[in-house]
Amino acid sequence: MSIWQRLLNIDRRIVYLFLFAFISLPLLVPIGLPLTISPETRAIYDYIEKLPEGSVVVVSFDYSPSSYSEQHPQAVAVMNHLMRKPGIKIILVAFWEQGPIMAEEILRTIDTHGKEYGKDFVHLGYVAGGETAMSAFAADIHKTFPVDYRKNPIDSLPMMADIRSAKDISLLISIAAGSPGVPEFARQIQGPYKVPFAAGLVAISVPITMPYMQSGQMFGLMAGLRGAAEYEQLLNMKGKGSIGMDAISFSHIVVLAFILIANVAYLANRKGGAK
Amino acid sequence: MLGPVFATWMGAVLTLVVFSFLLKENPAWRLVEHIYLGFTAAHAISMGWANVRNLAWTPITTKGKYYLVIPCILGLMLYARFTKNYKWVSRYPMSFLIGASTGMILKGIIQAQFVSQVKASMVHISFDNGFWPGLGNLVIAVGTVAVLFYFIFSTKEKHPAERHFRTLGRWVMMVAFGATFGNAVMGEMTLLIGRLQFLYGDWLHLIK
Amino acid sequence: MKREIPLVITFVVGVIIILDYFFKIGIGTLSLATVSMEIQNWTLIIAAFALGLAAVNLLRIHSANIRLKRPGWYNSLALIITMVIMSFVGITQGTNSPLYRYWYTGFLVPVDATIFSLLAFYITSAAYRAFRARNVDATILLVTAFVVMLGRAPVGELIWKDVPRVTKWLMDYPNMAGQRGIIIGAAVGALSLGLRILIGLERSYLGQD
Repeated sequence: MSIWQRLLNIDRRIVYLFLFAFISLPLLVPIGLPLTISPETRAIYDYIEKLPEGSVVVVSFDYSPSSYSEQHPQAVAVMNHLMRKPGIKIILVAFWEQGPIMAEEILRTIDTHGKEYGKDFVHLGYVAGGETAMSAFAADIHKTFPVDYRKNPIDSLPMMADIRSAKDISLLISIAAGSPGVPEFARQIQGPYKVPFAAGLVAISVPITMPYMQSGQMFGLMAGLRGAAEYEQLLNMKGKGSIGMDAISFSHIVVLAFILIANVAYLANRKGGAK
Repeated sequence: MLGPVFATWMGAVLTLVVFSFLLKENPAWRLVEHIYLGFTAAHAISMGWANVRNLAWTPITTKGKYYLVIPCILGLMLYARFTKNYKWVSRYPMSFLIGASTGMILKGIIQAQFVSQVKASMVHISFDNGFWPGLGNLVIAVGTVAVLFYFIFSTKEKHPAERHFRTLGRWVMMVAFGATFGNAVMGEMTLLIGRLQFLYGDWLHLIK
Repeated sequence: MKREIPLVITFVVGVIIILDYFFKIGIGTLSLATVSMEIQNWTLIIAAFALGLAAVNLLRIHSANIRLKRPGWYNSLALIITMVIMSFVGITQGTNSPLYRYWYTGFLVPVDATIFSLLAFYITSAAYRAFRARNVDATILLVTAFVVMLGRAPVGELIWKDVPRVTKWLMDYPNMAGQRGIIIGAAVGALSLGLRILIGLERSYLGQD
């Protein structure tokens, strides 16, 4: 067996071991590689910065523990920003059944900067039905969520007295892992009600979402953990996004190295075979 | 309750058990997998019940909205699919759900995924703002049409130009798939990084 | 009765929702908007009942495993016990109760997150084994993926300072064009399928007699 053939047949466990080691290293010994902030992430930050007092922001928790590492830091960063802004009212909602627990985890640990539950922010929880639920929520929030996640009747929450439908929403941010997600929000809320819309996405769905950015249906997005790290940098906070970025670099190097090795070996092997 | 330390240790042991699947399927993994499935189903039941209570049970019992018994009966009819002779009964609620979701999609898709997208593809092709944005706009205008051409005119070509245009459509899609793969790598790596952050940080306190 | 009425229900429900979007029609207190909203409300209730379907299916399969003492029946027993206990806690105390949250974050989050994290190993192994520059198409895919991977990692900028700009161009233009073609194509497909469902030409969702 030639060296090239050997390089084409490295045992999968060796590949796993390399990956494991290369990710562990920067987690244990961080380097702090500099990070450029993308215009897509900055657009969300700038939009929130410019929101006038009294604006109503809906943050939709449409992810599950499976994408927790990628999306929870995004949600934490956005929620931190919204809590810091005085006079902003926040509605937390979920169209994924695991979403409410993710939202509550943030609410239990976040600094609310004096914001009070019911007056400045509410957590409506989850409603089944996917796209239909989004449409119903946009048309009549009180009918779709007669009770919030903490079992308070919606009419007993002072903040919700004047917020009845999507017409009263200033900004919609979905932390979306899949379906229902961006296309459904574009169809049911952004399009019909012209609500400004941005999203935090799992990295894999960023490419398919780019057409919504170019068409102006969305104005900003956070791409996976990098998006979260960029947002943390804008907020001057050190969260899980920033901590993980060195490991992202190292892991990508491993994958790129293996692709390179395999292709060099493949081409050399083919050339050898041709002779 | 058992406290946060126990939860962290439980999380660590479970993480290692799931990782063990990489080497070989084993009894510990199978047990965890089954408990996980049971828990996921329980979560769906709990969330479903909360929705039924808020949207139907409470309005029926406290506000006298008795007509909401009808969707409840329809909901229960879904379970007829598990019987042999009355399977057809579940078609009634299913047709309701399908009708509603089809209506939802049809009303929104024309604007959100057709008109808006077609409109946005009609870009101004000019090199005044630099070569790359100009080339990019050209790629948007021609590339989008080429991809659609590839999908819609997949029959045998009558003219060699058709084949070339379809090839261009395929190449544009290859860029899109390559970009998706590149992003997918970052996504999957993040999931692993998250678990290692938990093991090294929350469990072993090795991350400062 | 078994097929015709469901087809009529699908048509009526779908058409009311579509008409409500385009027209504002009403007689007295009854308007198309209120009927459409009520239909949506009913859909949410039926969808909530549907959340239990998977559980019943699991219960059927795994109770049979236990009854017939199939290999690994004790795993099925663990599944059912977990399902019963956690459903009981979730229904009686709520999913926001400390007890439910404790087990959710202690058990479900680590297991779910770790299962999906295994994909990192598989994607690396797959990239090494299958990602070859065999022809023009595969080379375009490979080069794009290579650049995007570099562009997404902070280290990419150290290797080649223009890599974020090149990545952005690839994402914003050729990738965008490709994805848009797919989105428009899918929209046309969904539109035709939706119309076929509404007028009763597509009936596969009704199943066999």
